[in-house]
Amino acid sequence: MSQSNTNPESAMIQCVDVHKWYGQFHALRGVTLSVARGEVVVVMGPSGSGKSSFIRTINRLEEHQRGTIIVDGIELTHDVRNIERIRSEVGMVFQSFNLFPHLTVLENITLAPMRVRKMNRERAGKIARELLERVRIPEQADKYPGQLSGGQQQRVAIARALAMEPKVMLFDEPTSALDPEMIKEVLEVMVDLAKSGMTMICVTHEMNFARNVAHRVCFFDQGNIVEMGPPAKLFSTPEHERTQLFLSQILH
Amino acid sequence: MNTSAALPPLTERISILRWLRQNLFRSVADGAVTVLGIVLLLSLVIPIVTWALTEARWQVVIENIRLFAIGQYPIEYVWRVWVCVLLLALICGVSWGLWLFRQRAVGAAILTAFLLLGLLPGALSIPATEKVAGFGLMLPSLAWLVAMSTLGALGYAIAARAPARARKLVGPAWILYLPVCFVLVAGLGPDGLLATVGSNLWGGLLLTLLITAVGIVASFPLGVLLALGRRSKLPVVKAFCIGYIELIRGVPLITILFMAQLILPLFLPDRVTFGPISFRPEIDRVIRAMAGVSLFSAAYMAENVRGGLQNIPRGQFEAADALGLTATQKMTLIVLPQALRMVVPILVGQFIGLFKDTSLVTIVSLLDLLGIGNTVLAQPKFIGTQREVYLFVAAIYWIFSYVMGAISRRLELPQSASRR
Repeated sequence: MSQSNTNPESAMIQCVDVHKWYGQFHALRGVTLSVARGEVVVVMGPSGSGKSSFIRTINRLEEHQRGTIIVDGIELTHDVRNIERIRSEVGMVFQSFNLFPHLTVLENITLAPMRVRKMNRERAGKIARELLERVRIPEQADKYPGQLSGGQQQRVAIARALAMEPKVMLFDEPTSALDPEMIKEVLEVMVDLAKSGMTMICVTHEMNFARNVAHRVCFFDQGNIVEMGPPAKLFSTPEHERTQLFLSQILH
Repeated sequence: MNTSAALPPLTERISILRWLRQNLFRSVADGAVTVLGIVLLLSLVIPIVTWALTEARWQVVIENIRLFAIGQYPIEYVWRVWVCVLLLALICGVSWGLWLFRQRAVGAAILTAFLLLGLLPGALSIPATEKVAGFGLMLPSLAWLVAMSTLGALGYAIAARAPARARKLVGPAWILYLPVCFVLVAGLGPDGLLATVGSNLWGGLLLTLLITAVGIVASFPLGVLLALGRRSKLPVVKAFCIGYIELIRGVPLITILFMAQLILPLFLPDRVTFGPISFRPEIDRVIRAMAGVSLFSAAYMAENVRGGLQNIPRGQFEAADALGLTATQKMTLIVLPQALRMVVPILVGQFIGLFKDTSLVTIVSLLDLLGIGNTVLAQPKFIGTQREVYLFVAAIYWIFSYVMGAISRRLELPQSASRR
C-alpha cells in the first residue's frame, strides 16, 4: 500500500467531511471518521440518523456528494475501476441477507472469487468449505438459501463476503431481521471475526457485542457523529444529551 | 407395508353415489343446473360425434396427409426431415437424462409429443400407392416409434453415465440443433444428398414448426436485449427500445407480415457490388415471414422480461455490487437468471401464442398448416369438406399447444418455488 504512509495513523478507512443529500434531504452532514487497521467500530443511533447511509457510502452503494473517502489508500471517485477495486476489498453484510436465491450456498460463496478474482473452481470451493466450517454450517453447502433459517442465511452471507478476503467488513444491522435465538449464532461468528483482527464497521444495537469487542462506539444523530469513544466510557458516562436519551431507551 | 396403511382413511372412501349427491345434486337448483348442463352437452356432442363417425369424409385428410405434414417438400428428401425428428429425440433423451431425470411428468409430456410425432410418419405411409423413390423411407409408424424411442433411450443412457461436466454440452447442443435442422431442410448446394430444396416447397406442419422455432429462438435474445435497453441509463438506447416496443405493440401482426413481404423489398437496392462479388439482393419469402414474426414477438417478449426484471429486489443488485461484480456480470449471473425464471410460464404462454399466430402467414400466401388446408379445399375432389379440414388443422394446433403448456406447467425449475 504505497500511499498508506501519507496517513499518519496508517488508517484503513479515512472519511473527511462526508456529505450526502437525498434530493432536498441532507442525510450526512460532514461526517469525519478514521478507522485504523484491525479496529472494530460500532455505529449506533436512532433510525434515520444516517448511520446506514454512512456505511453504504464506504463501498459506494450510496454516492457521497462532498468530502473524501479513502479506503486502504484508494480514494472513492467516479472512476469505475476505483469503485470496483474498493468493492472487492470491502465485504458487506446486509440486514436482509441478500443471498442469491437461484444459487446454492456453495455457489453463492464461490461466485465472486471465481468471477472477480479469477480463482479456479477447485480452489474457490476449498476456501468456501473452510469458511462454512468457520461460520459453523459446513453441512449446508449444497442447499439453496431458501432452505436455511435466517441465522444460517446470515452466516452464509458473512462467509460470502469473507471469501473475497476483504480488508474491511461492513455490517449493516446484521441481526435486526433475525429471531432472538438466531441473533446469538450470528454474533458469535462476528465476535470470532473481530478477534481475528479484521477491520470492521458494524451498525448494530447489540450492546453486549459493542461492549465486548468494539474498540470504539460512534453515536450518530441527524447525519453526524455526536459522540465517539471506547464502549465502556460511552455507555457508562455519555456526555451528549442525545446519547444519554438513546442509551436509556435501549437499555430500558 | 401392511394393507391397512395403504388404504385411505375412512372419510375419504366416498361412494360414487355420495360423490354425485355432494357435487352435482346438493340442492334442487343444483340438480336442475346439472341436468340442464348434461342435456346441453349431449345435444352438442352427439351430433358432432355422429357426424364425425358417419358422415364426415375423412378421406380428405388421409389422402392429403403428406401435404399437411410437409407441403410440397420433395419425397426423395423427406428423410432429411425425419433425421431432424430423430435428432430431436436424441437431444431430448440426453437432456432428460441430465437435467430432468427426477421429473416424471415432464418425461411423460415429452413422450406424448414423441408418440404424436411418431404417428405422423406412419400416416405419411398411407398413400403407399404413390411410387416411393429410393431409401425405403416410408416405414410403418411402428418402426418410427421404435427408432425414436431407441434414440431417446440411447440419449438418456449416455446422459445418465456422462460426467457432470457433460451438462455444459446440452445447451450448445440445443443451440446447434436449429441451424442443423435448417441446413438439413433447406439443403446445401445444387445436388447430392443435401441438394437445395427451395423454401417455396416447404409447407404444412413443417413450415409452421420452422417459423415457430425460428421465431422463438430469434425473439428471445432480442426481447431480453430490448428489455435491458428499456431500463438503460443511456437516453438514446432507452428511447430507441421504448420506441420500438411501443410501435410494434401498437400494430397488428398482419401489417408487420405485409410490411416484411411487400415493403421490405422496396428498400433493398437493385444490385449490391462488393469488389468482385455482385448480386441482386433478395430475401427469401419464408425468411421474410420469419423475420416479421420474430420482430413482432420480440416486442412482447421484452415487456414480459421487463416484468421479471422489475420484480428483482434491490438487495440483489446491492449484494452483487458489494461483491465487486461488474455491471455485465451482475446482469448475466444474478439478475437475468432470476428474472427469466420468474417469467417462464408467461414466456411459454407467449410461445404458444406465437405458434398459433404463425397461421397468419397464410395471408401472405405461404403454405403453412392452415394454408395447406386451404389449398386442399380447393381440390375439386374435396369440395365442401371445410369442416373436416379445419377440424383436423385445429386439432393439430391444439395438440402441440397443449403439450407445450403441459411441459411448462410441470417443469420445476430449481428453487423457483422456495424463494423467500
